[in-house]
Amino acid sequence: MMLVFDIMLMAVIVWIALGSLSPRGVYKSVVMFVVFGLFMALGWVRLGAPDVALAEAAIGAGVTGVILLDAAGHLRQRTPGPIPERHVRRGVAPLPLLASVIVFFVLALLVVNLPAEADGLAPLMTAGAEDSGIKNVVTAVLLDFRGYDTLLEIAVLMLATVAVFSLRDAPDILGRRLAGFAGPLLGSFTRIVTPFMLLIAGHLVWIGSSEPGGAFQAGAVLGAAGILLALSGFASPRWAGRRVVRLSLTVGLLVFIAIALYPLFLGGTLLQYPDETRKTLILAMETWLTLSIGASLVSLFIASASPGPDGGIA
Amino acid sequence: MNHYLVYGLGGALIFSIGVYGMLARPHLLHKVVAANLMGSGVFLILIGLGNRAQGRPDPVPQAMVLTGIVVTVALTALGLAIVKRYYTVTGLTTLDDDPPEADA
Repeated sequence: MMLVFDIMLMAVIVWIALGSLSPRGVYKSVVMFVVFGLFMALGWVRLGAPDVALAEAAIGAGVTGVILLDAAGHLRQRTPGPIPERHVRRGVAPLPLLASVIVFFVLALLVVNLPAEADGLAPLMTAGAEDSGIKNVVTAVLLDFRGYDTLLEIAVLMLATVAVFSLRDAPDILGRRLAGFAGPLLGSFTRIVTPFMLLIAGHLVWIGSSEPGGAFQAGAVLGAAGILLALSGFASPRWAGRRVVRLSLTVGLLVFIAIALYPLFLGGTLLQYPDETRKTLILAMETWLTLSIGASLVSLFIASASPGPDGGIA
Repeated sequence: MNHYLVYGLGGALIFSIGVYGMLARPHLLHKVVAANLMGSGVFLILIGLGNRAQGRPDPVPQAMVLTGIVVTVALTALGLAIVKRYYTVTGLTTLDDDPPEADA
């Protein structure tokens, strides 16, 4: 019975994926892509990956959708109306179709030919997670067993933020007001919902060691709260100067590096946390990572967001 | 047919849809969406194959995909920043060598 649901869900996801490349307009594509992310989140739940589902819904559908929508709006500023006819290739292009069919069959062959049962690293990781005191195995993998990946990922996120900052049109993003949607309804909605989003972010970090959640999901919620504030016309507060922004962008990576280096002084190797302080170290790291991931997501959006009609300077 | 196969094959299909979009759609925003679709296809295959374990699913691909989602949003933001800059400078939304006045 569940198999029927899986096949139907997958069919819907594929159909939406096709729609998100529809030549009938960029806005339609973007909206379809957001819907795609939400259905993917459903798929992750079915695959027993609630951590990924949380991240997909908040980052994959939410943040990506917002920056895509903003870009779609930006690209229309000087060319109102639908995409020019010559940019729209209706019908099917034969060569790309051939390429994608070949890619599909190669991938499908590989997937089908793998053994139907493989435990992979699950038993090893579950046992290791019990030893480390981090009950959520995914969090244990992210920050403990595969700490290198996450360390470098945070570095990638920071580098991308720096790159987006250097590509921006406006000289400074601080104190910038974005295109004003700030009606009374959106304003009060934001006022009510923002404290709850902060609460949820804190909750997700705290339970991340035992339940689905953690720095990435919490960072995504924090980032979404920041983007919502920016979109509702709240300018960044006075104390959030250049230095505060830069510090919150980098503090996650810096704390991570410091904690990664700390075992070296105890005679261990990089990222080999001592058993007695493991949980404390990981929680400390996650807290600062959340702040940095949230700050990065907000910056990735605001740094490249189109300014409001008044030039965007608050 | 096992349920990991549904998602594994679906992932392969979505990856190839992304490949098609990347090659066949001239609009740069479509290309960014296509890159995201290719990423999602890879994620589906990874986590789908991690579901072959008896009992609980393999957490390692899940952690990798979690990392991948964050890197993908960084890629998307950087890609879109470049696309917007390109549009500001040239007034074009595609990589075709069209005369710019047709677009401006």
